[in-house]
Amino acid sequence: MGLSDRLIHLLCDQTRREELAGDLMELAHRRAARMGWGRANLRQGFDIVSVCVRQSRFRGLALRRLGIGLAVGALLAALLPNDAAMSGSFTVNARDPAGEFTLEVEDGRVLSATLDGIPVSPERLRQRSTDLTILGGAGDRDFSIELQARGIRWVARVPRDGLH
Amino acid sequence: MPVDRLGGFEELVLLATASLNGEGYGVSIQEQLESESAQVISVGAVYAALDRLERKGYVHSRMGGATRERGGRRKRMYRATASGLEALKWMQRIRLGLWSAIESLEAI
Repeated sequence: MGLSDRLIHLLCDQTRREELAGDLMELAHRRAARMGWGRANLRQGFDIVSVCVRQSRFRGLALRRLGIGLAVGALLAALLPNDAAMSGSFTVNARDPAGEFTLEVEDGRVLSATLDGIPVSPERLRQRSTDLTILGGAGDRDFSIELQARGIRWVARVPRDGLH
Repeated sequence: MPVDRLGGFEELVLLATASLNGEGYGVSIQEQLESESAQVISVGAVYAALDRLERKGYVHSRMGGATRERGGRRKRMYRATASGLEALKWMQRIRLGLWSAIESLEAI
Protein backbone atom coordinates (compact mmCIF):
# COMPACT_ATOMS: atom_id res chain seq x y z
CA MET A 1 0.00 0.00 0.00
CA GLY A 2 1.50 3.36 -1.05
CA LEU A 3 1.67 6.50 1.04
CA SER A 4 -1.37 8.10 -0.62
CA ASP A 5 -3.40 4.92 -0.04
CA ARG A 6 -2.43 4.91 3.63
CA LEU A 7 -3.40 8.55 4.12
CA ILE A 8 -6.69 8.09 2.27
CA HIS A 9 -7.45 5.00 4.34
CA LEU A 10 -6.62 6.78 7.58
CA LEU A 11 -8.22 10.15 6.95
CA CYS A 12 -11.04 9.89 4.43
CA ASP A 13 -14.59 8.70 4.64
CA GLN A 14 -14.92 4.97 4.06
CA THR A 15 -17.50 5.43 1.30
CA ARG A 16 -15.13 7.64 -0.73
CA ARG A 17 -11.83 5.80 -0.34
CA GLU A 18 -12.05 3.68 -3.48
CA GLU A 19 -12.56 6.51 -5.97
CA LEU A 20 -10.16 8.89 -4.20
CA ALA A 21 -7.32 6.35 -4.08
CA GLY A 22 -8.03 5.35 -7.69
CA ASP A 23 -8.02 8.95 -8.90
CA LEU A 24 -4.75 9.70 -7.09
CA MET A 25 -3.12 6.60 -8.59
CA GLU A 26 -4.35 7.51 -12.08
CA LEU A 27 -3.06 11.07 -11.68
CA ALA A 28 0.33 9.74 -10.56
CA HIS A 29 0.59 7.52 -13.63
CA ARG A 30 -0.45 10.29 -16.03
CA ARG A 31 1.89 12.85 -14.53
CA ALA A 32 4.80 10.45 -14.43
CA ALA A 33 4.35 9.98 -18.18
CA ARG A 34 4.47 13.67 -19.02
CA MET A 35 6.40 15.38 -16.19
CA GLY A 36 9.79 14.84 -14.63
CA TRP A 37 9.90 12.61 -11.58
CA GLY A 38 10.44 15.48 -9.13
CA ARG A 39 7.64 17.69 -10.44
CA ALA A 40 5.20 14.78 -10.67
CA ASN A 41 5.92 13.83 -7.07
CA LEU A 42 5.52 17.41 -5.88
CA ARG A 43 2.12 17.70 -7.57
CA GLN A 44 1.17 14.34 -6.11
CA GLY A 45 2.08 15.60 -2.64
CA PHE A 46 -0.17 18.66 -3.07
CA ASP A 47 -3.02 16.50 -4.34
CA ILE A 48 -2.75 14.09 -1.42
CA VAL A 49 -2.95 17.00 1.03
CA SER A 50 -5.82 18.69 -0.79
CA VAL A 51 -7.83 15.46 -0.94
CA CYS A 52 -7.18 14.47 2.67
CA VAL A 53 -8.02 17.92 4.03
CA ARG A 54 -11.15 18.49 1.94
CA GLN A 55 -12.46 14.94 2.14
CA SER A 56 -11.45 14.37 5.76
CA ARG A 57 -13.77 12.34 7.94
CA PHE A 58 -12.66 14.41 10.92
CA ARG A 59 -14.07 17.83 11.82
CA GLY A 60 -13.04 20.74 14.04
CA LEU A 61 -9.94 20.67 16.21
CA ALA A 62 -8.86 17.24 15.03
CA LEU A 63 -8.61 18.60 11.51
CA ARG A 64 -6.06 21.18 12.59
CA ARG A 65 -3.94 18.53 14.30
CA LEU A 66 -4.12 16.45 11.20
CA GLY A 67 -2.86 19.37 9.14
CA ILE A 68 0.62 18.99 10.63
CA GLY A 69 0.62 15.27 9.97
CA LEU A 70 -0.57 15.86 6.45
CA ALA A 71 2.16 18.37 5.77
CA VAL A 72 4.70 15.74 6.78
CA GLY A 73 2.90 13.22 4.61
CA ALA A 74 3.00 15.55 1.63
CA LEU A 75 6.68 16.18 2.16
CA LEU A 76 7.35 12.47 2.24
CA ALA A 77 5.30 11.97 -0.89
CA ALA A 78 7.33 14.68 -2.61
CA LEU A 79 10.71 13.38 -1.51
CA LEU A 80 10.37 9.61 -1.49
CA PRO A 81 10.52 7.71 -4.77
CA ASN A 82 7.11 7.28 -6.32
CA ASP A 83 6.41 3.54 -6.49
CA ALA A 84 4.22 3.85 -9.56
CA ALA A 85 6.68 6.07 -11.37
CA MET A 86 10.14 4.68 -10.69
CA SER A 87 9.76 1.05 -9.69
CA GLY A 88 10.85 -1.90 -11.76
CA SER A 89 13.78 -2.63 -14.03
CA PHE A 90 14.38 -1.63 -17.61
CA THR A 91 17.22 -1.38 -20.09
CA VAL A 92 17.69 1.60 -22.39
CA ASN A 93 19.29 1.14 -25.81
CA ALA A 94 19.80 4.52 -27.45
CA ARG A 95 21.81 6.18 -30.17
CA ASP A 96 22.82 9.74 -31.03
CA PRO A 97 25.45 11.22 -33.42
CA ALA A 98 28.25 10.34 -31.01
CA GLY A 99 27.33 6.67 -30.91
CA GLU A 100 25.28 4.06 -29.10
CA PHE A 101 24.83 3.69 -25.38
CA THR A 102 22.88 1.49 -23.01
CA LEU A 103 21.71 1.88 -19.42
CA GLU A 104 20.48 -0.77 -17.05
CA VAL A 105 18.09 0.80 -14.52
CA GLU A 106 16.50 -0.75 -11.45
CA ASP A 107 14.08 1.14 -9.17
CA GLY A 108 15.42 4.46 -10.40
CA ARG A 109 19.11 3.54 -9.91
CA VAL A 110 21.48 3.06 -12.81
CA LEU A 111 23.25 -0.26 -12.30
CA SER A 112 25.48 -0.24 -15.37
CA ALA A 113 26.09 1.54 -18.65
CA THR A 114 27.89 0.94 -21.92
CA LEU A 115 29.20 3.39 -24.53
CA ASP A 116 29.56 1.92 -28.02
CA GLY A 117 29.26 -1.53 -26.50
CA ILE A 118 32.08 -0.97 -24.01
CA PRO A 119 31.12 -1.22 -20.32
CA VAL A 120 31.57 2.00 -18.37
CA SER A 121 33.38 1.53 -15.08
CA PRO A 122 31.17 2.21 -12.04
CA GLU A 123 33.56 4.97 -10.93
CA ARG A 124 32.50 7.00 -13.98
CA LEU A 125 28.79 6.82 -13.11
CA ARG A 126 27.59 9.68 -10.93
CA GLN A 127 23.89 9.73 -10.03
CA ARG A 128 22.01 12.32 -7.97
CA SER A 129 18.29 11.61 -7.82
CA THR A 130 17.18 11.44 -11.46
CA ASP A 131 20.31 13.08 -12.90
CA LEU A 132 23.00 10.75 -14.21
CA THR A 133 26.42 11.88 -15.38
CA ILE A 134 28.82 9.56 -17.16
CA LEU A 135 32.15 11.18 -16.44
CA GLY A 136 34.29 11.81 -19.48
CA GLY A 137 37.63 10.20 -20.14
CA ALA A 138 40.02 9.59 -23.03
CA GLY A 139 38.86 12.64 -24.94
CA ASP A 140 35.16 12.24 -24.14
CA ARG A 141 33.15 14.97 -22.43
CA ASP A 142 30.84 14.36 -19.47
CA PHE A 143 27.54 12.94 -20.65
CA SER A 144 24.38 14.00 -18.77
CA ILE A 145 21.17 11.99 -18.82
CA GLU A 146 17.88 12.60 -17.00
CA LEU A 147 16.02 9.50 -15.84
CA GLN A 148 12.27 9.63 -16.23
CA ALA A 149 9.50 7.30 -15.16
CA ARG A 150 9.32 5.55 -18.50
CA GLY A 151 12.60 6.30 -20.17
CA ILE A 152 15.36 8.91 -20.32
CA ARG A 153 15.97 12.38 -21.70
CA TRP A 154 19.30 13.69 -22.96
CA VAL A 155 20.78 16.26 -25.29
CA ALA A 156 22.22 14.56 -28.36
CA ARG A 157 26.01 14.51 -28.23
CA VAL A 158 28.05 15.80 -31.14
CA PRO A 159 30.13 13.26 -33.09
CA ARG A 160 33.58 12.63 -31.68
CA ASP A 161 36.42 13.75 -33.92
CA GLY A 162 37.86 10.97 -36.01
CA LEU A 163 35.32 8.42 -34.90
CA HIS A 164 32.13 9.55 -36.66
CA MET B 1 -34.47 30.88 -11.06
CA PRO B 2 -32.35 28.19 -9.38
CA VAL B 3 -32.92 27.66 -5.65
CA ASP B 4 -29.24 27.36 -4.73
CA ARG B 5 -26.55 29.82 -5.70
CA LEU B 6 -23.69 28.68 -7.86
CA GLY B 7 -20.19 29.77 -6.80
CA GLY B 8 -17.63 30.75 -9.42
CA PHE B 9 -15.55 27.59 -9.13
CA GLU B 10 -18.67 25.45 -8.81
CA GLU B 11 -19.90 26.91 -12.08
CA LEU B 12 -16.66 25.91 -13.83
CA VAL B 13 -16.77 22.39 -12.37
CA LEU B 14 -20.43 22.06 -13.38
CA LEU B 15 -19.63 23.26 -16.90
CA ALA B 16 -16.77 20.77 -17.22
CA THR B 17 -19.02 18.00 -15.89
CA ALA B 18 -21.77 18.88 -18.37
CA SER B 19 -19.30 19.03 -21.25
CA LEU B 20 -18.04 15.50 -20.44
CA ASN B 21 -21.60 14.21 -20.87
CA GLY B 22 -21.73 11.61 -18.11
CA GLU B 23 -18.10 10.55 -18.54
CA GLY B 24 -16.72 13.05 -16.03
CA TYR B 25 -14.90 11.89 -12.89
CA GLY B 26 -12.37 13.53 -10.57
CA VAL B 27 -9.34 13.19 -12.86
CA SER B 28 -11.06 14.01 -16.16
CA ILE B 29 -12.82 17.06 -14.71
CA GLN B 30 -9.61 18.33 -13.11
CA GLU B 31 -7.67 17.84 -16.36
CA GLN B 32 -10.36 19.58 -18.40
CA LEU B 33 -10.26 22.58 -16.06
CA GLU B 34 -6.45 22.72 -16.09
CA SER B 35 -6.41 22.46 -19.86
CA GLU B 36 -8.94 25.26 -20.36
CA SER B 37 -7.62 27.61 -17.69
CA ALA B 38 -3.89 26.82 -18.01
CA GLN B 39 -3.77 26.96 -14.21
CA VAL B 40 -2.96 24.37 -11.57
CA ILE B 41 -6.21 23.02 -10.10
CA SER B 42 -6.04 20.74 -7.07
CA VAL B 43 -8.07 17.60 -7.36
CA GLY B 44 -9.22 18.09 -3.76
CA ALA B 45 -10.87 21.39 -4.72
CA VAL B 46 -12.67 19.61 -7.57
CA TYR B 47 -14.02 16.93 -5.21
CA ALA B 48 -15.18 19.56 -2.74
CA ALA B 49 -17.05 21.44 -5.48
CA LEU B 50 -18.58 18.20 -6.79
CA ASP B 51 -19.79 17.35 -3.28
CA ARG B 52 -21.48 20.75 -2.95
CA LEU B 53 -23.01 20.46 -6.42
CA GLU B 54 -24.37 17.02 -5.57
CA ARG B 55 -25.93 18.30 -2.32
CA LYS B 56 -27.59 21.08 -4.34
CA GLY B 57 -28.90 18.52 -6.81
CA TYR B 58 -26.93 19.95 -9.74
CA VAL B 59 -24.94 16.76 -10.41
CA HIS B 60 -25.70 13.09 -9.95
CA SER B 61 -23.00 10.48 -9.33
CA ARG B 62 -22.72 6.73 -9.82
CA MET B 63 -19.87 4.28 -9.52
CA GLY B 64 -18.25 3.46 -12.86
CA GLY B 65 -15.72 0.95 -14.09
CA ALA B 66 -12.28 0.06 -12.79
CA THR B 67 -9.08 0.16 -14.83
CA ARG B 68 -5.60 -1.28 -14.37
CA GLU B 69 -4.20 2.27 -14.32
CA ARG B 70 -6.25 2.83 -11.14
CA GLY B 71 -5.14 -0.38 -9.44
CA GLY B 72 -8.54 -1.96 -10.10
CA ARG B 73 -10.44 0.78 -8.28
CA ARG B 74 -13.72 2.14 -9.63
CA LYS B 75 -14.38 5.74 -10.64
CA ARG B 76 -17.23 7.90 -9.37
CA MET B 77 -18.81 9.23 -12.54
CA TYR B 78 -20.67 12.56 -12.52
CA ARG B 79 -23.44 13.84 -14.76
CA ALA B 80 -25.09 17.27 -14.71
CA THR B 81 -28.77 17.06 -13.78
CA ALA B 82 -31.60 19.00 -15.43
CA SER B 83 -31.57 21.51 -12.57
CA GLY B 84 -27.77 21.78 -12.94
CA LEU B 85 -28.11 22.66 -16.61
CA GLU B 86 -30.88 25.11 -15.71
CA ALA B 87 -28.55 26.77 -13.17
CA LEU B 88 -25.82 27.05 -15.84
CA LYS B 89 -28.23 28.69 -18.28
CA TRP B 90 -29.31 31.08 -15.53
CA MET B 91 -25.71 32.08 -14.90
CA GLN B 92 -25.11 32.46 -18.64
CA ARG B 93 -28.10 34.82 -18.93
CA ILE B 94 -26.79 36.94 -16.06
CA ARG B 95 -23.33 37.12 -17.57
CA LEU B 96 -24.56 37.92 -21.06
CA GLY B 97 -26.79 40.68 -19.68
CA LEU B 98 -23.91 42.25 -17.78
CA TRP B 99 -21.52 41.93 -20.74
CA SER B 100 -24.03 43.57 -23.07
CA ALA B 101 -24.24 46.51 -20.63
CA ILE B 102 -20.45 46.88 -20.79
CA GLU B 103 -20.40 46.62 -24.57
CA SER B 104 -23.11 49.25 -24.91
CA LEU B 105 -21.02 51.59 -22.73
CA GLU B 106 -17.95 50.98 -24.90
CA ALA B 107 -19.96 51.79 -28.01
CA ILE B 108 -20.76 55.28 -26.70
